[in-house]
Amino acid sequence: MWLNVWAQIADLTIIAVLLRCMTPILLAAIGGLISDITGVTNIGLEGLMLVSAFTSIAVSAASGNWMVGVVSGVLICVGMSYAMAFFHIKLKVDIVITGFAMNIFGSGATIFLMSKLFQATGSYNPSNLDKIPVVNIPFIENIPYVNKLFSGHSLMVWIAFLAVLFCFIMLYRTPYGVHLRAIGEAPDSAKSLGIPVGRLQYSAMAWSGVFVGLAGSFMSMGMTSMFVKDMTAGTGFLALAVVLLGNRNPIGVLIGSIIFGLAKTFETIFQTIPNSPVPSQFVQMMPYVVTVLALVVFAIRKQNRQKKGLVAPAAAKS
Amino acid sequence: MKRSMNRKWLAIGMVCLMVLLAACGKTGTDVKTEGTASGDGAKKPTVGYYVNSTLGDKSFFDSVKRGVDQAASELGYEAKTIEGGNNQADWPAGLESMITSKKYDVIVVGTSQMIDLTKELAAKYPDQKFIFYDDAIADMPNVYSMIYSQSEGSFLAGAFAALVTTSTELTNSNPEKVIGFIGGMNVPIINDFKSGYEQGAHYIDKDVQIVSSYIGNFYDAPKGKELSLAMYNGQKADIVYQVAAAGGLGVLEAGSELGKYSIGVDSNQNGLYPGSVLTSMLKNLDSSTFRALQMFKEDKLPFGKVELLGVKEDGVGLAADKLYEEHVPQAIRDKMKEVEDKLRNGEIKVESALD
Repeated sequence: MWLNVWAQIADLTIIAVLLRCMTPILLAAIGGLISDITGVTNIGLEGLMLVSAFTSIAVSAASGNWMVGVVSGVLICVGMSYAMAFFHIKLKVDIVITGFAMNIFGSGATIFLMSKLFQATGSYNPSNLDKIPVVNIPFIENIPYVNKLFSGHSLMVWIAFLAVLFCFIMLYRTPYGVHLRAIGEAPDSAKSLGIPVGRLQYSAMAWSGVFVGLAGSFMSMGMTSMFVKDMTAGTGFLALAVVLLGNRNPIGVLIGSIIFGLAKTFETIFQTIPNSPVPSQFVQMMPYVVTVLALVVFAIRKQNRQKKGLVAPAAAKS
Repeated sequence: MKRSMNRKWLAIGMVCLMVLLAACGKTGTDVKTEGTASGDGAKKPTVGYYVNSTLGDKSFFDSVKRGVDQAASELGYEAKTIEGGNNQADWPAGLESMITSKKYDVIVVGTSQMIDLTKELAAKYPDQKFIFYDDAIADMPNVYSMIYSQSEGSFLAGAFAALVTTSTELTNSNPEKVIGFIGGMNVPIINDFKSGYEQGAHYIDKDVQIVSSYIGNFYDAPKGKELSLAMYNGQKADIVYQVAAAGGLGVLEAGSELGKYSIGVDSNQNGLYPGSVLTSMLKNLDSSTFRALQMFKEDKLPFGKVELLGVKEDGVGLAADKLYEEHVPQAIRDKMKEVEDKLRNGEIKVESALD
């Protein structure tokens, strides 16, 4: 059994699987991070992803162009996030309730539209779909081993890594990012300095929509070429956990996504070994066990740091 | 002043609501009297189909729907399908309101998830007749249940998969004798599929190795795809048999993407990826639902009984359509015919994992 697992790690198959598994988590988590950092925790990631997954595949199938599909998926997510922000900031609805409403809406609306537009309830697989392209890098694709690392991945995988970089630069290297972080840490002081808290929260939610939209479109047009009701299957909630685990930091989020992606990857590998002695239920539990362990580790680390006085209690609380 | 304004609006709102409710109530009774009136005249049997999920899985629930629709067009049934959605908490209310509406002579409902609920409601409403599919409710005078021998059907699928993996005619079949199985959840019914599949494969060739795994639900298509990619690439499987409803669509897509083979389930899925989905294991839910409704119309349906429909009763079988004939080599088709005949005349006995 271990030989079989080792063989798949050694020939780097694991990398391809890992990149596919972690990309939607990473993108959604980046989306969650940007809004979370301003003090608006976007619980609705799951619903937004579903909406985007459905919109992008529907538009892409109709227009015959994947880019149009992805862009419309992103746009609709930005719109929905804006609506969420409106409810939360303007109408003072609790963000948790708004988020849950979004999740229920995402699941219901996609099923409804699927049956109205395509007379298909449950799943929609268009035959002539223009999928998000796979990037094959010349030269490298012919070098053994190296090709598995760098070539043959979906374009969205690279976009996800760029998103981390983009998010890092935006949050830590621009005045806009400083403002975003400031209103999350201490909204009242930020307000007293004349920073428009509400407006910045709106914009943060819009950014959140952009990345969640990308994550959703990757699920329906990159990983698969179909839309299945509730196909996100908890990815949005994993992403939320990754945001917390990553200590609200793009690099932390990247590491968190890799951990979760690895858990999913090992689940796949362990499950497909012939005559595996490990019960399938146990293997399926792994991503969630990792969640719990990771949060425990995170909590302990935070507590230790607080004891040493490295973090001011006020900031640690938020 | 402002307060009294609010009250006034509230009062107006209440009045509107009451008028609306009264109107609804009125139309409701109207429909009912109309229904009984026409019932006294030419008696048209009515059937209600309660789906404890949504339609559109392109297999299981859709298949029963076809049977109900066929009964509507050919036997003159008045049919109505109600989708209960994925929230289990909604199902009891949904099914009970169907019963209490008294609009249906017979209600079609099924799957193991509904067994306790249907038992309870059948005892509570002894006048309502039920046709229960895919699991057994015994000793209820108003319930007829039909179960499908998924182990026999999967035996055929397993034999077929073993023939494909050992075939030299099929171009994309590799020398390794490995076949795959992907189930939705690790539950008894799915494991019955698996056990039949293994028996079938080993009947053809003792050395065939079976890799099996479970998605964990019936809708995570990306995960189904990932699991089957690992089977095709990592374990060198040539053919994977999926029993995972909508989640299994990901399995079929992976097979077609890599140019490998797969076996569909419950409905004929051969047409989804022609040449890659070589055949489908059918639970003939449609024809058996039709058969039950036909018997009900003739007053011959044995309520209180459980019928096991196997290969012999055409309850299960492989989808042998045009695509099957086009893409599957003659030698395999002949051998499959032989296996099927042996199952039919009882020469081969398939052990079920359920008992």
